[in-house]
Amino acid sequence: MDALIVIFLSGLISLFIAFAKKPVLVLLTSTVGLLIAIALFIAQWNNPVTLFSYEGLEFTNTALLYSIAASIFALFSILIGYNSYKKQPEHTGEYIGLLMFSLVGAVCMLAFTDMFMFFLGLEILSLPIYVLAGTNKKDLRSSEASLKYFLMGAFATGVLLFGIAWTYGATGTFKIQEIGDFIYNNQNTGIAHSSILYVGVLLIMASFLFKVGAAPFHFWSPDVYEGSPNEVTGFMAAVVKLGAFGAFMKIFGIAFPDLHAFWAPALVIVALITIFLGNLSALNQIHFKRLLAYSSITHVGYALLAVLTLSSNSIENLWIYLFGYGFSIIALVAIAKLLNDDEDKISAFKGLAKRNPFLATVAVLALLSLAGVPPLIGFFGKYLVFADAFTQYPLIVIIALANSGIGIYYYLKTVINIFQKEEIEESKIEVPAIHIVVLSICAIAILVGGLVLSQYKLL
Amino acid sequence: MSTANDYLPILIQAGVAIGFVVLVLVVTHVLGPKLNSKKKDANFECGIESKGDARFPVSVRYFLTAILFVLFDVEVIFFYPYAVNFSDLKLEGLLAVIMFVAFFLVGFFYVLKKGALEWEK
Repeated sequence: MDALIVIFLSGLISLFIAFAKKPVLVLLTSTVGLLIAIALFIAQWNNPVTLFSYEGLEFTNTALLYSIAASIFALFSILIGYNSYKKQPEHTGEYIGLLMFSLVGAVCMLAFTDMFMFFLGLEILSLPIYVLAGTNKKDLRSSEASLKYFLMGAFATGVLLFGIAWTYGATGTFKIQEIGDFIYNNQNTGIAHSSILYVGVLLIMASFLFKVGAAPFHFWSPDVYEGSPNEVTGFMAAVVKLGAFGAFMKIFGIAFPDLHAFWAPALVIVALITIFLGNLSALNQIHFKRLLAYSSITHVGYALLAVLTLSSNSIENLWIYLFGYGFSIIALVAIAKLLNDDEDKISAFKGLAKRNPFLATVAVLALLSLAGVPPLIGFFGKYLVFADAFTQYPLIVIIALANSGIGIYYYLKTVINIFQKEEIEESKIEVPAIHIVVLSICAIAILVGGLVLSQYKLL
Repeated sequence: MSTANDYLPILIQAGVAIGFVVLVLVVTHVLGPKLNSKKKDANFECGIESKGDARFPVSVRYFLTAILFVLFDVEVIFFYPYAVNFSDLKLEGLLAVIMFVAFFLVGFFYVLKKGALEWEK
C-alpha cells in the first residue's frame, strides 16, 4: 500500500502548497505524486513485499492493474482541468487535492479484502466527487448536479450498508474470502440459500448498479454528467466506473460466485434494460455531455456482461473494456472543454475539422472507439467481453451486438458534425500544451492500445 | 450463521414498538376530554408573542463554525473509549491515537490557514 500512501500524501501536500497561490506548484506536486504512485504500483507487480501493509488491503495483480488505470485517468483529469483551476489560485489546491483523495478511495475499493475497507473506500471515493460536481459555483446546473448526486448517492450508500449487514447476519463474517468459503461449504444445505443472504446480495447489487449508473438506477447520471465541470465528468466516467466495476467484480466473483444462479437472472434483466434505455435515449440528444451520459449507460450495460459471465478471463476483459472507454471519454470531455460552448450543444462541433485538425482527429478516433470500430481499443474491449459471454448468454450478446449497431448512429452523427461547415465563421482553437500531451497519449492509446493489450495475457 | 427465524424477536419488538405508539395515540384521542377555548388552541400559552417567520436566512458562518465544532467534538468522544482502555492498548494504541490526532491537527491547521474561523472578513 506504499503507492496509496504516496497518493494520499501528495494530495495533502497539494492542499497546503496551494496557500502559496502558485497553481503550478500544486500541479507539479500532484503530477509527481501520481507518477511515483504509478511507478510503485508497477514495481509491486508479482512482488507483494512492500514497506507498509495492512490486512484489509491486498494488492493482487488484478488490483494493481485496475489501480494503475485509475491513477492514469486521475492524472489526466487533473491535467485537463488545470487550465480552469488556475484561474482561481485560492481553490486550485482543493480541486486537485479532492481528486487525489477520491483516487485514494478508488484504490481502496480495488484492493479491499473485507467489507469495512470496501465501504470506507466507497465513501472516500464518493464524498469528494459530490463536492467536485458542484465546483462550477456560478452555474446552477452544477449545484443541481452536486445536490442530486449527493442525495441519491447517500441513499445508495445506505442501501449498501443495509445489504452488508444482511450478508453479515447470514454468514457471520466481513471478509469476502470467508463469505465465499462459507457459501461454498454450505451450498447443499439451506444455510447458504437463506432469504437473509439473498436479500443482502440483492441490496449490495442494487447499490453497485446505482454507482455504475445502470438502469433503472441511472436517473442521476445524465443530470450529474451534464452539470459537472468537464474534467469531473471525465473522472466520474473513467475512475469511478473503474473503481465500482472492480469492486463489483471482486465481491461477486469472490464472495458470491456460488450464488450465480440466484443473482444472474436479475443482472441479465438489468443489463438488457440498461443497454436499450441508454441507446434509445441517446439517439435524440442535442447536448454533448448528455449524449456521453446516455452512451455511458449503454457501455455499463455491455460491461455488466463481463460481471455476468464471471469466467477466468472476465476480470481482464472488463479491464481492457474500461481502460479503452476511459481514454475515449477523457479525450472527448477535454475537447468539449476546449470548444468552450456554454450550452454544450453537439452542433458546437461543426467545423472542428477546419478550426483545429488535431482536435478533430482525436475526437473522431475517440468517437469511433466508443462505437467499437476495429482496430481501435473500444472494439477489442467489446469483442473480448462479448466473445467471453457468448457461450453462456448467446441471446443477450446478439441483442447487445444489435444495440452496438444502433449506437454507431449517434456516434457517427457527431462525427458528421465535426466535418460539416460551421454556420458562423469562427476562429481557430488554441490548444494548451498540456492538452496536446494528454490528447496525444489518449489518441495513441486508442489507436494501438487494443492491438497491444490483446496480444498478452495480463493476469 | 443465522437464519430468518432468528430474527423473529426483532420483528416482534418492532411490532410491539409500533403497536404501542399507535395504541397510545388512539387511546388518548378516544379517552381524553375535549375542552376547546381560544386560549387553549393558541400556539403558546405563555411567553412572548411570536413574530415573523422562523425561516429567515442565517449567515453561512454559523454553519461553518457549527460543523467544525462537531468535528472536534466527535474527536473528543473518541478519546473516552481510549482513556478507558489506555493501559491495555499499550504503545500500539498510543501510536494509533497520535496518528488520529495528527490527521485532525492537519485538518485544523488547514481550517485556520483558510480563514474559516475568522468572523470578520
